[in-house]
Amino acid sequence: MAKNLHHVSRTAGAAGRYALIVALLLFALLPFAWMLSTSLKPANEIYTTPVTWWPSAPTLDNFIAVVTRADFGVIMGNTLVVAGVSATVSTLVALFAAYGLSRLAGRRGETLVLVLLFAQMIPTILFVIPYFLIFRTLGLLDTLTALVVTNISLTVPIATWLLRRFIAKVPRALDEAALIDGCGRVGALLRVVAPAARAGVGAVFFYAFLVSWHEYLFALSLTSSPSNRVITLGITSLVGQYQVSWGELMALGLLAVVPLIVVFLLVERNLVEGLAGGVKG
Amino acid sequence: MDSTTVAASRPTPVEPEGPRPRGKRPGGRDGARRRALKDRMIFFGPLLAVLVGLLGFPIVFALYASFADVDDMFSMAFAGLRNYESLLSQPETLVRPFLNTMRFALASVAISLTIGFAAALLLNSRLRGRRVFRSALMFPWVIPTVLTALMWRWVMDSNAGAFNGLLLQLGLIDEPVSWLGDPNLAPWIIILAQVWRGFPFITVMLLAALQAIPEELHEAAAVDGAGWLRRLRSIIWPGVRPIFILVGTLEGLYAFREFAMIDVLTGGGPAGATEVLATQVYRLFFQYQRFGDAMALAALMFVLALVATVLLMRLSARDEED
Repeated sequence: MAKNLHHVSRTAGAAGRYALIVALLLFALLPFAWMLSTSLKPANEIYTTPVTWWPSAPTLDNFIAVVTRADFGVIMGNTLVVAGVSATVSTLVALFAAYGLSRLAGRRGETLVLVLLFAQMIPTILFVIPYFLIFRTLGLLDTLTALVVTNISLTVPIATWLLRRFIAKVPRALDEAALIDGCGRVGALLRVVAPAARAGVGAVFFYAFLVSWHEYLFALSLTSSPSNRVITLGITSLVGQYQVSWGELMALGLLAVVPLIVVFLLVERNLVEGLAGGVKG
Repeated sequence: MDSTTVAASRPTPVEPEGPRPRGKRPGGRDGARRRALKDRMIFFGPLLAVLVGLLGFPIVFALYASFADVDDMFSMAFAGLRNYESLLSQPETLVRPFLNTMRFALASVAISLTIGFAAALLLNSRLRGRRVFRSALMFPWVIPTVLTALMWRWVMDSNAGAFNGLLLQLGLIDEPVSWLGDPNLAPWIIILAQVWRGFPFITVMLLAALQAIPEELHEAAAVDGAGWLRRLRSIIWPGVRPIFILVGTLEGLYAFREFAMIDVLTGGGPAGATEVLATQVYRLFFQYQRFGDAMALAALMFVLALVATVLLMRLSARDEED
């Protein structure tokens, strides 16, 4: 009898847990469902009331309209170049620094780690004004170079911070063997340590790529011409002063997000481990 | 002694004859030291270049500019406290955005921490499919903030938004509510959007901390007959506290400096009800061209973030000593 009661309360507990999880999942995912539903609606159904939860006649018109826009290729290309170049440079800088922190630095390394952490916390708007003035002086306003430079400044500290945990986990015996074989330190890092930590390197690259892909404030204040537009500005450019083409906007949003979610699912485990490990260390 | 004699008296590397001190081979300790220095330059050089050139220099520039004459064609002549005096003489540009920022940061962090911790506890229990749940809960974190903001703007649209539609169908309201048009409601909508974006990261961090708690502790507590609340207080909370404080600090400072969410979701409106410090600095500089006020306000934001960071780091450092 007592055992049965215990069993009942445990089943009830499990049911309660599932109910809470489902509530959280609804909170996290329902806005995506609304986004998808809107993106599949014909223009005349978007503003109908009462709201329809699923389009009566789903259509890909919004997606076609977005993809065939003259600047779609330009926007995607710009974003890929900016995010790709900044993430590559950041990951390389972070790889070297993380190796140095793990193998060469003494106590002063700890100070450097604190500086990296603090760099995370500086209000971005503080950088916008000096960068605006500096790039104006250098003639780099309204260029993709300006965005690459500012994204590097945003991502190097966090990338180094995350990567040092992955590098620290690579056994020292590996790079010492490489050193004895006549590799320099650089050779040891690039030929032995980095490949051994490739999962972490990949996760950090993705994170830096994600931050650059999401970046809005620098893009807004440092670029202006449509030929230099990146995805965040492409998305907001669909917001008119009086009217918003929600169907197209949600379609473009999904197109911008799906590749990120796919890659995220591929690197998720390492990324999560890196984030969590970085915090613990 | 002048420098030439020093140079002359220093033993040159090319010294074929004569006894050498023990243990000193050509290129021995000096060479090793030089190589170590070279290594350090190779490995830390790029990072230091970024830290000094791309972060340090703009900060110093911005802080100096807040004390300089920037309104008159950016002459950059030292102007003492003039920008600050000008800014403080117009409290309406300062006080409301400051209070809005504090409400936005504190409320969104408090709610995100609560939901994030609850989700982490749930995902840490024996639950079928919890890996899938974790992945799905992370999705809001992957999408760009501008898109998050626009999505919520559309969900909360007063005419055809999903939220009003849902509440109307459930009969909870009779008339559509203008969520983003009401100065009392709009601040809570941006907090809602910020929580939606922010809690997954907290969940993942706290889940990692929970999983690092040794299983034996839980077992020992179960043997002792400790209830769930007791275990929460004596085992779980001490295990996650340092990370709790750290992610709280990070999320709080991210919220403190948030620009995109507010700019895209409400544009600071209605009637300044959601204007925060970051959007206010941007507006002062790029829209009103009040450069001096903008620089002074940005510098004040920096000082606030600095003070908050130092205080919170003290808190987490004290935690480690416990």
